[in-house]
Amino acid sequence: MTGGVALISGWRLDALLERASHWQTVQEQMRLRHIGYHLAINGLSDNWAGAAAEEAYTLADHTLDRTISIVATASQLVTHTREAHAQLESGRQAVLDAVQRAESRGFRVHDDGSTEATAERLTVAAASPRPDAAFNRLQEEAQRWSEVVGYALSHLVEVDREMAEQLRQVCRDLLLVGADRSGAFDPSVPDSPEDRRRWWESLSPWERGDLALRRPDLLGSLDGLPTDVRDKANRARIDGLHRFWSDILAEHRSTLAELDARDPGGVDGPVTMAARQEVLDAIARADTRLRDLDAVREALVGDDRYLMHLDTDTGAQTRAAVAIGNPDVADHVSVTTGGITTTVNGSLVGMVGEADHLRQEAISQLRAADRESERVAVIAWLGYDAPQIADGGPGVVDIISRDSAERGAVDLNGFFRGLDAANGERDAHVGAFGHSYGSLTTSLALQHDPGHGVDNAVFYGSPGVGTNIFTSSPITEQLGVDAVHDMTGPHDPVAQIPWFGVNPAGIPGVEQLSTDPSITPDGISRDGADQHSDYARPADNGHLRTSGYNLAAILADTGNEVPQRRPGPQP
Amino acid sequence: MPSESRWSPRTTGGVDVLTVDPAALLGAAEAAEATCRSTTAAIGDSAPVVDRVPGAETARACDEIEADVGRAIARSTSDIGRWTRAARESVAAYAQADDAAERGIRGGRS
Repeated sequence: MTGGVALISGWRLDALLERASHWQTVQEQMRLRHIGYHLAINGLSDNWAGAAAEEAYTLADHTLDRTISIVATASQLVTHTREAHAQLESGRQAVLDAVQRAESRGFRVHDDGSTEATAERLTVAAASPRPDAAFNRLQEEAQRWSEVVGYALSHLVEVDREMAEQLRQVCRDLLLVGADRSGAFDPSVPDSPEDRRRWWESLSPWERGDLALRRPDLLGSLDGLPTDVRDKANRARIDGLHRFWSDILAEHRSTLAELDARDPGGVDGPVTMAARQEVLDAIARADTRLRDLDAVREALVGDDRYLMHLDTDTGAQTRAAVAIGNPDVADHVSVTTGGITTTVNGSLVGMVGEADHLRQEAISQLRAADRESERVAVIAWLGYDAPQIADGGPGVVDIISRDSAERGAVDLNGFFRGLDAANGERDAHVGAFGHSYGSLTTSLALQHDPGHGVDNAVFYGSPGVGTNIFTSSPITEQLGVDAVHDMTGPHDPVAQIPWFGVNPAGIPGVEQLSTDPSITPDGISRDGADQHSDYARPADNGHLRTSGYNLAAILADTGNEVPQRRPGPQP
Repeated sequence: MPSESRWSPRTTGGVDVLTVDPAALLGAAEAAEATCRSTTAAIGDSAPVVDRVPGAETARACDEIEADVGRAIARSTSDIGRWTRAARESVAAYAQADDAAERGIRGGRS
């Protein structure tokens, strides 16, 4: 706030109530628009199908999302603006009351709140029997009134600042999802992770702070930026996103109630069951986003954890990546990519738990090799829409398609390059670990752009990795890595079906590692990996299985990995 | 932020021609346009707060946010407008394709 007593006394705070009323209109009208657009396109799927129709439905879905986000935001703005009016009016009145009381006692209040005795009071003091003492008392009283008015002013400044921040936070939530950012701060971020690192380093502390405040959504998703910057930005968004999706959920429930009220039958009237189902789907999606955010919070409980990616908006599913240990300062880094049916709410906590075991085992192996100064970071990456099997959702057809992997590969490649850029001169030893369908995503990511900085690839439980074994170039060259390993459990059904090319074990140049029970070089008796989900999970005895031990050996680059002795799957 | 839709009449294919009901599509476009027009008119404008509450950070925030909300509404309006235009263009494209197919069939018969 700028200005003093004179400015405050002239405030017409009813302007805030008018604005709240305007946003109330926005809320009501955009809700009508949401319902009207919903009804307009409702039922079209019975009469229109094909590629153009699919694009049209996608655009309509995005538009409906944006519209409902405006409804939710306007609703919050109404509440906060009315509260701001009440708070500012109270604070303003406190200032004016203090001024009035001071003036009624013969003091003059300056614009900045400082107070002095009026000429009349000074004249009376001069005429008193002990003028010096009277002047001193006047001085002390003036000082007290200065403090009273000053306190009221500073309280008003604080209230003003808080109310403004609350309103801006609401709007940041609006900007987070689906809204237009044109006209907002444009930091002109370079495209490549390598350039982004240089760009970030070129910014002044003020520019960095300003971006962190205004655009945490941008910073959190930028591959190439320091991990702690991304982590802070992403963590700062969790509460806002939670509020946002809670509001979206509430708004969709209101829409459903309105649709039901208009057409309780739902079959013969203007609102068909299809329209109702769309709203139910939107409710389910918002509910899933909230559970995703809860899972992210849970995954971050523990020391030295970093939220490297968080996106509840772009894809069909929430996307997230959590690191244990800071990869920017690590000597050994692994990125594990989940496969079929993985989701943030269903898989992230488990993947981070497995990553923790992996890291501890890698540290143990380094310690045993007298290399305990070397640092280890492990990352669980769910940065793409892994195929799902769900009622009414994508089915087997999607799982046997490469589409999800191809789309995810581009982002995973960028993530690898971002790690390499942020790790800088340290040039960490990086392992790309792909489980199940995640092995295809990992392989395609490594093939997408050779500048990924990954040293080793490990595929396990793989249904094929989309490489061409008939080409003359070796697999390491195709993937741009130093070594490629595979682990295939004897009873893993997913790895027995060559959906995306031959099992990696059948590709020349791929080193097959053991999944059998074994006594590893550290003398520990370890279980084998029998089922599709066993590879990275600790066994009932609390120790990682042979396969998990192998992953740690590759991660720490200790050379301890246990080779497979039985024949693997044939091409 | 969701990526922009690539939808345009050019993406229409033979399958669409067989599965579209032009009347339903036109009806949807008109209804969408009507709801967009009426809600935009009802929202109207709001006078700046900062003129009546000078020096207050809250007033400045209110006006900044109003600009953001206005842009978000304009984006929604623009998206629906794009949708309705493309729907109408698609109906025209379908009609042309239908005519061409009919001419082709007649040509084959003769």
